[in-house]
Amino acid sequence: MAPSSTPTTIIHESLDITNLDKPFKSASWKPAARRNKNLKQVLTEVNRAQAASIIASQAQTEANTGDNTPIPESALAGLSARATAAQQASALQKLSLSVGQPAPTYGNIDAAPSLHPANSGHWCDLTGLPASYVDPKTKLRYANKEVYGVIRGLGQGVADQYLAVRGANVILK
Amino acid sequence: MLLALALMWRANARVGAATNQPAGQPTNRVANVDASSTRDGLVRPTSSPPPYLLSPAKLPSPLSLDSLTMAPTATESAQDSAFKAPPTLYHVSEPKFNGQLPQSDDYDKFKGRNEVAIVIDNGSWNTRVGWSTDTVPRLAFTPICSRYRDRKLGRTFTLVGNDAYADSNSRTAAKNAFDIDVISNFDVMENILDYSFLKLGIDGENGIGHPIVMTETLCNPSYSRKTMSELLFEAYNAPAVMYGVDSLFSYHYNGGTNGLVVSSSNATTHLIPVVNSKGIMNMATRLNWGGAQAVEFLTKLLALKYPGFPSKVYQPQLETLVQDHCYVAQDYKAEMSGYLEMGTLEERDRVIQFPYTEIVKEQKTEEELAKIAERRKESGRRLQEQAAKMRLEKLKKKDEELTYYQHILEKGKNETKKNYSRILENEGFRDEAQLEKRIKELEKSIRRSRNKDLGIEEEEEEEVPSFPLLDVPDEDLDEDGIKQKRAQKLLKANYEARLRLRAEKEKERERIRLENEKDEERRANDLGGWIAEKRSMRDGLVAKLKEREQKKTQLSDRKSLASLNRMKAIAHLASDEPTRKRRRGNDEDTFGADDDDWAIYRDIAAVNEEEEEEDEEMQTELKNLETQLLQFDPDFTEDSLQDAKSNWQNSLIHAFLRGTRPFDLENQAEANQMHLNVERIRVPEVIFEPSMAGVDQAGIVEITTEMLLNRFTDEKQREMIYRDVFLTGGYALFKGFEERLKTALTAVLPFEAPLEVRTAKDPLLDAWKGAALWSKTNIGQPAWKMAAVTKAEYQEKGSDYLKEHNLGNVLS
Repeated sequence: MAPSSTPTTIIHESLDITNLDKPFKSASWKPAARRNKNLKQVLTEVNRAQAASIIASQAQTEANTGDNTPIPESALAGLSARATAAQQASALQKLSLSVGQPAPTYGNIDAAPSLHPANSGHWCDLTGLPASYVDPKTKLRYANKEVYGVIRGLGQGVADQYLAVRGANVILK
Repeated sequence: MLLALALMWRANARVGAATNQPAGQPTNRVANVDASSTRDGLVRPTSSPPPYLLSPAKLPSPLSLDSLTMAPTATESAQDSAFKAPPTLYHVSEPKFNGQLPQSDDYDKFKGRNEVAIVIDNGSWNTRVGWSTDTVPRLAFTPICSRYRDRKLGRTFTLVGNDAYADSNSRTAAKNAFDIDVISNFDVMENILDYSFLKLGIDGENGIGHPIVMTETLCNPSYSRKTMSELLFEAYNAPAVMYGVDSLFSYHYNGGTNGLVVSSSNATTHLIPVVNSKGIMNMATRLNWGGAQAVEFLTKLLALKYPGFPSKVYQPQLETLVQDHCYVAQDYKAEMSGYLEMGTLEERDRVIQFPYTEIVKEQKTEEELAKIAERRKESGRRLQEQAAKMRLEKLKKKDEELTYYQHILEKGKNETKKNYSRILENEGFRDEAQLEKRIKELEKSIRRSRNKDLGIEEEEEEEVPSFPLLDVPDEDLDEDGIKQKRAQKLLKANYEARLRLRAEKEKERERIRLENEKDEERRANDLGGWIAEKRSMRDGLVAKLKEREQKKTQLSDRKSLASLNRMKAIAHLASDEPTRKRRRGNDEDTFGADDDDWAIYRDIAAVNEEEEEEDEEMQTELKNLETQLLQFDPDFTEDSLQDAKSNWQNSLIHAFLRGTRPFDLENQAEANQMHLNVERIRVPEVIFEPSMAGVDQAGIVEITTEMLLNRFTDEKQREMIYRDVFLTGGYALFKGFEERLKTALTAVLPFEAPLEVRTAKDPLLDAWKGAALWSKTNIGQPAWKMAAVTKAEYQEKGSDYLKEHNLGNVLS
């Protein structure tokens, strides 16, 4: 088949890097299978790993207390009760420290919701102007009666689209 | 989801765009969504545009009627605006491919120098690549890759960065390496790295032979970093790799040691306090808002503002709109309140002209017109000739027919009765009368067409038909006669009805003429009274129309009284139960005895066609009255017209949609214009008030205050941080951002806090420059060893090994 020579094909051929010689690249390189994960998948895995490590550390703490470990009589004789108490305290402190100051992760550096909801103004959903009214039917905020007239004439579902802009739409699942 | 997806415009350019959408946007219920547009085009509700889009003259009806009695005052300003200079147009063009990036040919200078690092600012807006000895990055391109197969050639193309925009095929196949700010598609990333190293001209065997300094997002998940390290060490055999946070590099480049880094970039906004040049990572906070979200926000706003917009709007165009026209308001509420005021809107309103094709009406010259007229005349003549010929032929035929029938009639006189009736039957006649009738008809039609040909206007004498049988009693008639009598009876009735109708029409015409005469006479004699009468008639009509309109809107509300009454009536009509009246013994169902009873069916009809017709009638009547008033009433001007009631000059919606000039729906240029006004400050404002765009997080001012006042315990460090609030990232390019942040922070921080706010020298490139600067000064020094992971260390300690350092992320 004769290669067509439309202008775009010519451009593409000059831009294409598929067959270019890449001497710097390792010949034996094979990408791992399924290495592409979207953020959600990545974060879920991180969370699961974290949960697992917390459970593991808790289990370890429990083991350290010695409550459940069968301790030979001879060893018990040598250990003072005070030492056991100290061990217990330090383990507890460690745990509480790690809980109180979690390392920053992608998931936990998100800013918290606003504590001053009063600060957020009420803006007209259509025009963005300061809005003093809310339409009880559509729950849209509006600036004046002219805008209200428009709201009354909105087609079906359009009001929901306006609400969706500020995340206030009702989502049926 | 259709609309939701399409609203993004970027669905194809961004991995997982669908998952970023707030789930469950109204989907099935939106019946009026037209998804016919192409993949990267704008999909908008088409079948029912909001009423205000039809034309300014048809602005919201029920409300505008309220102001009916108000005297119009806008005459003067209307004249002013008529002579207004045309607005400044800001053109947006269709996305174009601007040619490929330059290929470096000076690799010889760097070959073998492993103290020169390859610096990659790996951002979601742009990938920037260069040598650490460069002053600016050599390459900057969108981190996308388009792999698509040309079936004709049987060949797969891989186009990276801006090259993917070469044509629409490659554009639609393009994929983004990023999911928000984290690399998720490593196939794309690998192609991006290939492309970058190729462009740098690297030709060494067995690896790239230079250390890599790469930026990553704040708290990059370790999976992403691990996979990146695998790629760099194993595929490219990098000798060492150092990762750092982009905004900290930028801060480093701008010479900061203690301060708060506010990095608002394409995908996110990060706030990182820095003390002694080290980022305090466990205080770092992210706000999920950046330039990309701002563009998305504008996209949604504009799609709702102009639902039926005729041109296609592309993602890059929207990005340009945000970059070129948006700015941060200093006092948002105050500025927003007066934003759409007609008097001063002109200086704030930006008119964006989208490309369009004007449908040009050809102007014909006099000569051409004459020629066309001549041609038309000629063809008309030919047609006439043809018609005359046909008529002649028909006439001939009829003539022949007539002679033939006459001949039969003649013949019949000599034949026996039996024979004669047989002949008649053969010819398809029942009896002689029918034949005679036929002959008469033919004669008449021949005469008529002859007269027509000769141009004689024949007086159509209405022959009064006679009904002779009607007066004959039935007893005197045979069966046939009775039949004929019945037919005659019908004919007579018809004839009489026709006459009656004609008379009625005549009478009506006469009545109207008389009325008009009377009206004119009255006008001539008593103009004041006439005007008053007409005005009151007009007001009555207007009130009636208004009432109708109100009822209509009420019916659209399921809970209104009108709707309830209607449902009640329907239920009543449908019920089989006898009504209470009947139970009381009044057995008669009197429904229908009164003609008004039937009106109930009119009332319960949901869409009342009759009423709509009536509405139309009233509208025409109104128009008539208004033309009369316009003509004769000196106080009644154009402005008091019903249509002008919804005067665009006083309309907020008009200012919002169409700016300060009247809108002409027919004008192609104007139909393809968007007016950016409130959006100019509404879009960037979200970073201060994320709830505006449905982001459930605190704004940057609140985050900063919370961080500095509540979480920072060291008083001294806090003071130092006040002195240097540092802005970087693309969002910092918005005009007024720095000033606004300063005012807002001053308002909430303690009195006389020594607050200083500054912006990076180059908010976009400083991250790369900082990384280059850092590598230039530190490679070979102990600091480099403390921060970079070598290939040996990678092999020994595993792919998720990371060295913590001042400018980088911490292990998690």
